[in-house]
Amino acid sequence: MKFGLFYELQLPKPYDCDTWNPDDERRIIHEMLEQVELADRLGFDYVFEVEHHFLEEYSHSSAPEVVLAAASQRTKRIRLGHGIVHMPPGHNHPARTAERVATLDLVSNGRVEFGTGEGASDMELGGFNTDRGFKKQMWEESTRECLRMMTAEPYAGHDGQFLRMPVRNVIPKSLQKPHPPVWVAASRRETVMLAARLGIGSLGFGFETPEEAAERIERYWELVQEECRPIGAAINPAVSTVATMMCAPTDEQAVAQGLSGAQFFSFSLGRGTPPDPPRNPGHDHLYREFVDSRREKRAKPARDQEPEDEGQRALYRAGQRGGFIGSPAFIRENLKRYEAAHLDAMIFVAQCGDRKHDEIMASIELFAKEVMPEFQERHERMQRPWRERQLDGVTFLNNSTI
Amino acid sequence: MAKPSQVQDEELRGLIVAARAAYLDDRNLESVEKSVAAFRGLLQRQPDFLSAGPFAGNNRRVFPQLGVALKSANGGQPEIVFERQQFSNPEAITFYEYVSDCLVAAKL
Repeated sequence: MKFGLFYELQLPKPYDCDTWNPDDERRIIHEMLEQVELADRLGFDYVFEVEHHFLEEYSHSSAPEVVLAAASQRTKRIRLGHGIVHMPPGHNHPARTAERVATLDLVSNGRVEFGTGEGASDMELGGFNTDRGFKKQMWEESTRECLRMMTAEPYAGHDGQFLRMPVRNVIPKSLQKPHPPVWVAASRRETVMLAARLGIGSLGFGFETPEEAAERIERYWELVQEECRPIGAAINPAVSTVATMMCAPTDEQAVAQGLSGAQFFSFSLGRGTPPDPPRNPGHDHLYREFVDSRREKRAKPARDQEPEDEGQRALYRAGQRGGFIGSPAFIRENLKRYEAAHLDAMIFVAQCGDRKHDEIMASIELFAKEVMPEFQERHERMQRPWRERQLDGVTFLNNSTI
Repeated sequence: MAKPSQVQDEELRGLIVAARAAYLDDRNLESVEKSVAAFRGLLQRQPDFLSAGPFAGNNRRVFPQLGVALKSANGGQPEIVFERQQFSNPEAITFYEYVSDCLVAAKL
């Protein structure tokens, strides 16, 4: 199994103030850069950064290509992932995406992972006037055309349902040929199976259990063999999943340092998604609501059932202790269950909510020293040959970095 | 892990096999129509599938909201309405996957 870090750039408002401190947004970006620099030095394989818009406190990461470019100058080896780029053309014109991804690939000497997605929240889709019912069509058309722009000289142009563009040579071209490895954000099982058919990696946001992951991974690889029609010029067969992580010497310390941040992660993403109340731009104070709601909930019985809605369930799971808030021994045992399911990469949300920078740094270091090496060793010895067996007979060009 | 061969009901298996053949041939509207017809068939055979079936409660899976609306009706079966007549291949695959999983989970 390979490992990565995942960044939303969460920034809760201080509980007693109505807005952030003047230096907070600068600080959170530079803390992330320090964490990524450490992760690179310790041997983490990937860092993925989201693109979100207008989601105050939940994510201040609206221009990930800028932060990832900065990270590229402070690191040597770690792969730099968009997790993900919003592909509807009203959010990012595919030509601009092709230009930015290729430029980042050049700046980083060929270390880009190109994650793609549809956008999900009402704040974002509404903010760019994107019709939710068409977002999957927009994603497919824009991603396909973007990859053509990255490879064709010149791009032949397109007259489609959501994109019209004349013949142009979209430059620069990426260092990685034919283009960087491509991923799609997959919060639903159906999207994992779509990823297999299109020959792209599944960046899982369903917070899947090991059992769910095992079922999806088995079917994913069957479909790669049986039905793959690549959307790009190379395939990136891979299944990863995202989970919150805090590693500390004892379980008690890890829970004390990491659980609240994970709970804020799910609380703040859920805000604006029914049945939660809509957001009030510029006026919400999600962190205060979160803290107050936790105080109230302490007096009530704990929820004994997961939410029924798929999206809400993912959020609920994200906010639980899960398998990765604990001591190295606790995390190791839980990771082994995903390893047995042949998960390719586990991507950890380390920075979230009110977690402290120095504790995140210590968590990254402890995990990398106490847990990660044995999994990386087994990846080379067992997972890589297993992957080669799954790809037996698959003749498409493969540029996966797994 | 749903596959057409796992669907035992001959009529529903025929629909889902046809849905797969259609999306493989980029006949996306036809594929969605076949998948939705199979889902209607499921609801006829198991009227409480959505409220009490294997994908209710903790395992609930949400009907894809991609140009086909699943509208709940008071006291009756939900109504399935096509909101458009043009679908992309990924949308057809999404409906196929969702309905296949439902059929297998329903043990039909």
